[in-house]
Amino acid sequence: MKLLARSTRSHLLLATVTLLIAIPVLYLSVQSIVREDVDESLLVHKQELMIRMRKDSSVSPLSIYGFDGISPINGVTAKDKDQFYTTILYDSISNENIPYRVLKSQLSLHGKRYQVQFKRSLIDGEDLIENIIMVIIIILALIVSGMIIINRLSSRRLWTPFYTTIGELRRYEIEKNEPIPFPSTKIDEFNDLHASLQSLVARSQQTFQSQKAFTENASHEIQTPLAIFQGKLELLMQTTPLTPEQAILISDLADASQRMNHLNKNLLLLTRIENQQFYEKQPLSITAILGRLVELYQPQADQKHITTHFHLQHDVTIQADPTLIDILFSNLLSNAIRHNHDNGSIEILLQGTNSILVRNTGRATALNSDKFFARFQKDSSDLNSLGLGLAICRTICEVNGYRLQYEFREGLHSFQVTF
Amino acid sequence: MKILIIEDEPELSRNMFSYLKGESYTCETASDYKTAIVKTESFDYDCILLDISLPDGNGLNVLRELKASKKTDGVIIISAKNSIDDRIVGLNLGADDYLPKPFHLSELSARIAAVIRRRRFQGQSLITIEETLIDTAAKTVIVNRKNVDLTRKEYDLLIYLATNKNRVVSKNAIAEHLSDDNVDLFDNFDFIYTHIKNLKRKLGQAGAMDRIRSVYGMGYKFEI
Repeated sequence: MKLLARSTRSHLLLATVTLLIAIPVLYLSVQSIVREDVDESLLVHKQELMIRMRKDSSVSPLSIYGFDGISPINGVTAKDKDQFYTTILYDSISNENIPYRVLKSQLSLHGKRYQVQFKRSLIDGEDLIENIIMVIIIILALIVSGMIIINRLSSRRLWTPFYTTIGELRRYEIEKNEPIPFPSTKIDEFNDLHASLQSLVARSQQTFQSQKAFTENASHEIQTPLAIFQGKLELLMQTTPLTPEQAILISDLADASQRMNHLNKNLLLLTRIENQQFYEKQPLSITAILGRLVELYQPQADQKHITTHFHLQHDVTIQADPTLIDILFSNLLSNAIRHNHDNGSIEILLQGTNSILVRNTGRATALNSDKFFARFQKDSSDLNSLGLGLAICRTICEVNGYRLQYEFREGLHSFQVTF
Repeated sequence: MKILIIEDEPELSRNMFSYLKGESYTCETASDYKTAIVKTESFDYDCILLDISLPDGNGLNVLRELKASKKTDGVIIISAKNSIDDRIVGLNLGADDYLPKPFHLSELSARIAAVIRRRRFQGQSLITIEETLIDTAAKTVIVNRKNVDLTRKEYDLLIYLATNKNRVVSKNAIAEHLSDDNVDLFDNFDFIYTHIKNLKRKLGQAGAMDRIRSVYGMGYKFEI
């Protein structure tokens, strides 16, 4: 749940509860006020009648217009007490039921007692209550919604630096080795947050850089002893006499040193690509590059009797460092050959306008794509594979902003590079 | 032919020295910048092997000095850095070749031979091995006055073995030599075997003696 939604939700809840309680309370209190008012006016009415009857003894309650009900009470002395009640009567003119407030009272005239009913329609009062409540609800609603809106707006403004910070963090790439441009705010908490983040970022950047530097330095330092070792082996090869047994041992050593050498070269290459040391961008024709590589790898493919289909409907031109693009596609191609079976096939196709697909037969199950793009994750069945090829491909794509995707479909492993 | 090895790492220097001595080159060594400057000023060399990172100076300055004094010694830069910048700067300064460490001694020897050929004979060099004649300018091979039709790789292989004659050239060195830059064909050595077989067959058909010999599966040797 979003922060803003959260704070708005509690405001809304409060407003709803308040309204739910306030409306009946309001209704009841206004209603009782209206009733009191009506009752008072009925009493006044009664007083008026009594005054008139006292002044003019000829006035008979029966002859006075406007009294809604009067009837003689015979003999029985009922309590001389006013009684109020509400009733609903049918009004034949407006053809509806109308609530009335009634005052039942007793009067004596000429020694005779009468029961008198005074009544008054409550319909105006009801309308009044409704209107009052309506107006109040509208005002309340306006106030509540206004408050919510203002609160939301101000919260949003308050939290803006926070959202900017999140955005910056999301965009952050440790490879770029730049500090994050956090916005400066007047709020201490945000400044604290930024300061802590900045120091966290600085520390991880430092670790990252020193790790990269370590890889590069280590690879450099290893080169010299490797070169000495390899040279000594070559000199050893020239010595005589040499028994076949010795020759095999030397040969094995030479292979091992070659592997070390190759591994070291690739590690160094990887760190160089990551350090953006290849920046000689120039327009390149993918058809030309692929054509050359396919030709170069043809002997290897022929050994496994692999057929290669290479056809691009039109050329793709990109701006990139030629060395990197060479490495990218030669790694993909050599993988397609290495992990292929005899009499297999390789297809190199153009997908859409700017995407190259290298598809090959091979193992019948999909590869774990999370694993093989990482370093030193290799197919253990092949000793010559170093486990760096695809990591290099991925890094090349990353620094150039290309997309590299793996897919296994219908028994074919395909790697797609989208420029 | 005189070669100067400018290299601060003594074992590497000794490796190159030992290998090249056997190739009938006269070798001298310099392990620091000062010695290198003194030697290059005092003598002429057919080829100078120049390490860029020297303890007391940049090897590229030796190259600058050489060019400033209009010396014509061939120069091959050997560098552990293998950085593109060094390569470009070096070649722009007039180095003949650039060889990143670690390298095979047979590769070094082949490069030296190529540099000397280019310098000495202004690109019109012929390598003659008994009945076989290799024209390195035209990249053709002639046996008994007949042209032998070799593929590019077979030709490269022949030159490589011939310039390392009577030496065992390891399979790894051949594989690396025949591979393009940045492209590894080290997967297996079958393709070397195929190239060797084809090369031997073509030379044999042309009437040349079979001089390429496999040495216990370790590598190949061009014997004279």
